[in-house]
Amino acid sequence: MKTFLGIDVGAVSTDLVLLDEYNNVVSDVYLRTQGQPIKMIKKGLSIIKEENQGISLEVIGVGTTGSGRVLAGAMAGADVVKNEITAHAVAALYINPDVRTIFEIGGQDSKIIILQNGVVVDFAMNTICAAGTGSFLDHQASRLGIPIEEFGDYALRAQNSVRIAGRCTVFAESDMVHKQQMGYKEEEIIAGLCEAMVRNYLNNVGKGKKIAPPIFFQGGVAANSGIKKSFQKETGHEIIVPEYYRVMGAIGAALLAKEEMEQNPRQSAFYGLELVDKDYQTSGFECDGCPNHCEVIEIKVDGEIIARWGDRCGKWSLGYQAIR
Amino acid sequence: MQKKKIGIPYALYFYEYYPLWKEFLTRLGAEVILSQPTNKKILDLGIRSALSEVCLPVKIFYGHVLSLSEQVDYILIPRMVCIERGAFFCPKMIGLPDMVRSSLQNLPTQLTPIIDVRQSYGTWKNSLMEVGKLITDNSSEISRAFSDSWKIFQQNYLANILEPNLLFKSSIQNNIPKKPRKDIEIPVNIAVLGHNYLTNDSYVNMDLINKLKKMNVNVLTPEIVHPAIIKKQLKKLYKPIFWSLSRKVVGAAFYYFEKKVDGIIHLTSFECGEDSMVGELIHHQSQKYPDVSYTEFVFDEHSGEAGINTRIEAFLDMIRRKKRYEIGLTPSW
Amino acid sequence: MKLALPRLGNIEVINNTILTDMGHELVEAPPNSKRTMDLGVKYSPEYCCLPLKIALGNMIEAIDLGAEGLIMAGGWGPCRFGYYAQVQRDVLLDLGYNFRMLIFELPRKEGIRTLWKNINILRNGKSWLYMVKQLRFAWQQILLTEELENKVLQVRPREKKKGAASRILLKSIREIKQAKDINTLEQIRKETMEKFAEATNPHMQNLIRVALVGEFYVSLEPFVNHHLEEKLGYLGVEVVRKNSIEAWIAPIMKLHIFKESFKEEKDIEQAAYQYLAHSVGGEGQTSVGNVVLAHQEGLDGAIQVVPFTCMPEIVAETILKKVSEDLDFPTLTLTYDEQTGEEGLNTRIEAFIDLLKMRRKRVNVS
Repeated sequence: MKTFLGIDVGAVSTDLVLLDEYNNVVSDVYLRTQGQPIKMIKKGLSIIKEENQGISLEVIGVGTTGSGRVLAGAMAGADVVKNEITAHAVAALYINPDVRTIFEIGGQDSKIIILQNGVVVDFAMNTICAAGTGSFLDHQASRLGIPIEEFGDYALRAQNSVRIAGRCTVFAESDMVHKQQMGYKEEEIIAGLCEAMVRNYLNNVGKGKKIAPPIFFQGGVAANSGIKKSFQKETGHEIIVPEYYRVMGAIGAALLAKEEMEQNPRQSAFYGLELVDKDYQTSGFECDGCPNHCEVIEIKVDGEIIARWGDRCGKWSLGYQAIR
Repeated sequence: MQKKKIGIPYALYFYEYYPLWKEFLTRLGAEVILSQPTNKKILDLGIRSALSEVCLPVKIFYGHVLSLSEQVDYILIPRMVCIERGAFFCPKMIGLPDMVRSSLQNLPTQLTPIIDVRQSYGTWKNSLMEVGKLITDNSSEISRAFSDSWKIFQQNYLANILEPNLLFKSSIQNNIPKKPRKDIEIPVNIAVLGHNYLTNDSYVNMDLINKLKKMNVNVLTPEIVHPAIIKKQLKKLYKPIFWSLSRKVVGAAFYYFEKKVDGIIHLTSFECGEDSMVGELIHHQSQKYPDVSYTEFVFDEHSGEAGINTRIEAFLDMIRRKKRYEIGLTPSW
Repeated sequence: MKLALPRLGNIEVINNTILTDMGHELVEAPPNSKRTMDLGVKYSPEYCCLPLKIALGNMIEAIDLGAEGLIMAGGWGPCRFGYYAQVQRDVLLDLGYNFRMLIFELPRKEGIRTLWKNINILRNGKSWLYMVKQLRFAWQQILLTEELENKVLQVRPREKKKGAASRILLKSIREIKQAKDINTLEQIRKETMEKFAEATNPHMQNLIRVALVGEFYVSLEPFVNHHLEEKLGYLGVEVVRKNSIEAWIAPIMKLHIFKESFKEEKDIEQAAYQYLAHSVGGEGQTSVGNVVLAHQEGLDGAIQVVPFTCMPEIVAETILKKVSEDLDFPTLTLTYDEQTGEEGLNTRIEAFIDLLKMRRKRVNVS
């Protein structure tokens, strides 16, 4: 079977998707990155291998995206390395070519993408802080001792919500503690947190953007029905959570790989599924060539350096050149 | 007699006025020492010594001042108040000498000439003459040094300005190959706007301009737009802007919108008061030009390079994918 | 035309005098509330200062109630305030509102025609004499309001029954708003002062005294500063308010007839000079000068209120660190934005007052 592989390495999750030639999802894997992207990419690939035992898989195009896209690209031998905004937009467009707005909320960043006639016309990412991101909720959930998976259900049960103030996680937390002391119910506080997050998102990331339906909501946080409900309330439109909401970035990367291989046909640079057995090492050092003290990262396979990046001047850069 | 060493922090308004001061002071026989371009050490020095509420450009200025403090006899920190009727510098630049004095200890003597052209003591000439007197007693020499360096400064300033039709790489609209093999072959014009201490400080803006150039972008800046064009563009405003530095940014933005460049990137500093208002004006204007992609990059000391790279890539992807659609290169999926 | 005046402390006292009596239909802008804040924050540029956001929310609420014209002050920098009207107008137009912004500011060039037009809209066909009379009376209303507001700061920490001072003030403000002539104002003044005297416990002496300095709008609008004056009053602190509408308007209008405030202005500048030698717009230099003066006047400390990202006040804040150190004079800076939480604020205020009290004790012992 001819397939395209998409890898999305984010700060919180590492996702892999394998698409067949007709863009059907053959496998999808969602893993927590836990600060070990290489290990997780390997793990993801071996899961894919296992899931498709007995089928002869031929990967004819690989795309990577996410904040770890350069690392993933260098490691896997990607044919295209794309930013996650384009990847998410492409994935959503594939599912619904008329999509106008995408809310994407991941672990440590969040984005809004505005589209018109099938192309991106505007976008924004969270600046400065994590107020409108998944880690905000994660943090509050662990504080309340409620599994994040159940957060949405709690919020839906609430009759009222409490207003939680605070631009950043720390201030929101102190306000939340205050509201707890005042005796508000857990459900109401959670509903308040969901609303605070949506408000922060729309006021920061979504500021000044023309939000029009159809609206897609993707990324890990889309699992949270409380957030979805708050978005519906704030925007007054239906919010569509696509089936593969968690791995949309990886789907987009796979689609971009397909596009690339169709427009510039060639042999894929993919190192093959066997790469799970290879020994990858990354190391970093601080260059002291100038007062900038750049942190240079290098990646080795079986002792041989295959890529190096992170320096501003280009003195060390080697191998994978996405953007310098 | 040993030459007097005068330090100039390579930050804020000196991106504009360093050539003038350097020319003037050197002609009088002083040794001018410009601080290094911003680097990690300078940034760290600034962040450590300023209140966290202070904007990034001022923090960086602090860092430059500190980096000079052991090498020079004097540090030049002019109080920039007003260089044209009806407009000011921002409050922080007006109060800069006092802020530096309050926050930093053990500095060399500070020279704080005041530039306020509404007052006789604050004209460029009188203000520079005042500083010149520290170096030499010969007032006719000072006067001559001033007029010569002023002339050179003006000439150089005008030399940077491009003819409107040279601004844009010629016939760029028809320049798109029928079937570009790679996206990078699609030529684009992008205006990078912002205060020049942000657009020209490649450490703070993560080398944005060079990154764009490497991605085959024709980069346009406010400096190359003729002041007369800027003045004309500003007439579009309901109320004139009263910040000199922002006038240039807004005028250039309006001009580039009118010229329908492919994209405009507005670089701003978090907590910059002018930028917060000016950003809104430009954003408001951008809605009248849906063909021009517009985005704002906000910088502060916590900005990460990865985030900026993603934004640059996504912005260019957006523009280039749009163009590909226009020439019929739609993806097959 | 249906006109509205945005909120600022008790500025509403002049609504009848300058609007209703001039034959306009008055739209009372609702008092600032969470809703005002939410509206303002939602539609303002993210990094603009809080006063702009609140005023914008206030304008939206007024237009929703039917206002066709909004009265707004202007200025020419370098503080952002002078550019509010332009940005707010852009935002409101983008939202599809139909209204007229009546900006009153010292004109520049072609601006003089706009000002003339705005004055004539306000005059509404009445005689010039009548308008001047109304404006003068409005000025008197402001002066009396501020006099009472300042008095309340002394009464509140000494009141026999909690809340009495605020209640008396509220009632008097309503009366000032309805007043039509100077005699009535004088009567209100006399009666209020009597009530204040009655509510005061004369044995409360040697209270902690704190100067309140900082940005104009935040310091004068209780909703925005989380009722800072009341909070301090109930902690037994006498607040000395350094900002006033009087001191703000008099110099702008170059009304040197108000000689006293003119002299004060010079004194403040002089006091600041050593630390901040030039005006930086807004209340930047004033804040520095007033803290130096507060020290000279023997107050215990100063509180500076700053809207998040305010340019002049950040200059002042930087310099006040040095002033406070040099003079050994405690200064607390409170930064406000739309997210300021009550709890954190209370903690800081209480801790600061405790600090001042401990300093007193230490001085008394030694």
